[in-house]
Amino acid sequence: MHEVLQKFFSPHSFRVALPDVWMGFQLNLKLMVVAEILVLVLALAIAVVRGLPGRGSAPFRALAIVYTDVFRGTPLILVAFLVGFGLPGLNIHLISTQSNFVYGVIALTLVYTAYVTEVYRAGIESVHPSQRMAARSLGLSHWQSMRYVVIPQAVRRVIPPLLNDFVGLQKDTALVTVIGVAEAAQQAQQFSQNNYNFTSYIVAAVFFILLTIPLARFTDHLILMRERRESAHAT
Amino acid sequence: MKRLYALVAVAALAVSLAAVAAARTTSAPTMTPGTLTIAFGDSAVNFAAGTVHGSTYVNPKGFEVDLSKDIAKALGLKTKFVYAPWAKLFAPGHKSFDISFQEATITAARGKTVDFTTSYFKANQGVLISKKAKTPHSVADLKSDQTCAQTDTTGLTWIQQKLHPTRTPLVYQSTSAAFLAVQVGRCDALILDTPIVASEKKAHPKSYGPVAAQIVTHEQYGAVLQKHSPLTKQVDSIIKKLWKNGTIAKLQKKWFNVDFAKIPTIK
Repeated sequence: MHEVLQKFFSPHSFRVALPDVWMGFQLNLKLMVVAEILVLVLALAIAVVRGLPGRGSAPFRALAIVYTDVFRGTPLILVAFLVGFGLPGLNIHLISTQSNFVYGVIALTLVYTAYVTEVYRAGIESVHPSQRMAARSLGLSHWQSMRYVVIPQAVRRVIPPLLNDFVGLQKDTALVTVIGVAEAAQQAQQFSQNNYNFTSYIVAAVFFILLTIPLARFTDHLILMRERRESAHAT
Repeated sequence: MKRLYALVAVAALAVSLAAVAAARTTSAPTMTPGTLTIAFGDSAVNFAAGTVHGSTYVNPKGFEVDLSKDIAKALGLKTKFVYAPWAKLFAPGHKSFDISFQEATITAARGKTVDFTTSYFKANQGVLISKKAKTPHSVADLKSDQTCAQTDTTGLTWIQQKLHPTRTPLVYQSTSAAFLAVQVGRCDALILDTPIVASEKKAHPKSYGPVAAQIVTHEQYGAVLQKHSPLTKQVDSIIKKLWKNGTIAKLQKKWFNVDFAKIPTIK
């Protein structure tokens, strides 16, 4: 028992490992914020493309479907290898000379955009068709009805699942350690190997948990607010 | 009377069986009786290279493979080759092998969590540079390069404690990932044991720049066993015997016919 406490929960190791792991964790935070912003924007664009009407836009719809299928089905660690080692290997100016941080952001964005596209699409499809028809009969174009009627309702509905994917993204920033990014998990690993103590992993875990708990409570709060609003409508 | 004979015969048989069983367990206390489970890490050309299927190593070849076979033979055991990841090699606790050869440098810190055998190889740290990197002529030249290393290696420790480079070193989980980083030019200079980088460069000469330099560290490789393994002492005496009768020198010549002394040393 004492052994377990010493190896996993040593207060001394906790203090010593904290600055290194915190330094690494700042990279996780940056990865997460940059990737999340890109994901939210790109995924909405792709979801809208998937919903384009008419035969003329069929190729674009097909492209959007292929993209989501491919990147939703590919493990993030493989995408990270492909981007982090593959792109620099191409020897193309600008594409091959970015930092590992940039490749990490690209890998995370590619994979999570595919997930979030599906979340948006579910939201868009959940808006009753009569809403769209009503907008069109008022003389709004397809774009206008999307912009002013469908998307505002759709996005509001999918905020809880969006935040859920955001939590997933936060945690998966630790995976880009495989391409050599010195983030929290890697710092924790180095401390652990230099000191034969696992407390540094606990330190990293605590950072991630401290980040996700407020987000989880915020999601709960949003769901509760919506339920209240909707039941108020009913009465 | 007949019955008595039979009883005596059975008793004698039982005693002799027990004696055999006892003899087995005292001669070589391995995970599977009669078999020595030998682990290698990521393929290291000339040391131990082969194909990994699940956790078994198929048809490995190299210096460490030959050495491990000699050791198993001296112990009177059959061999079984398995894969064990480097990143976990020095973690405390249960091991999935009897003995592992992974070009592991014997250090006091590592000795706290695992058993090391006596040294079977001596090495320095080599600097493998990418094709576009400039050749370093001194340790100071290396400081401004993008260095990289494998996790939990003496090369990484050297970068962090002695070199203090201006750019954070890139740290990879496996040897193959570190080599790949040099190939694609992510990393200018990989610091890893000279025989490992020299063998890799010899196997794939077009993929890398030269092994530009080596840093004298006088590292000794030892095989890794679980802490307090009852095998350690026996293996130690076998390795000492193999040094004495010239087997190890012969194996080194067979696999590494490379003159490491020709690589310039930098300070």
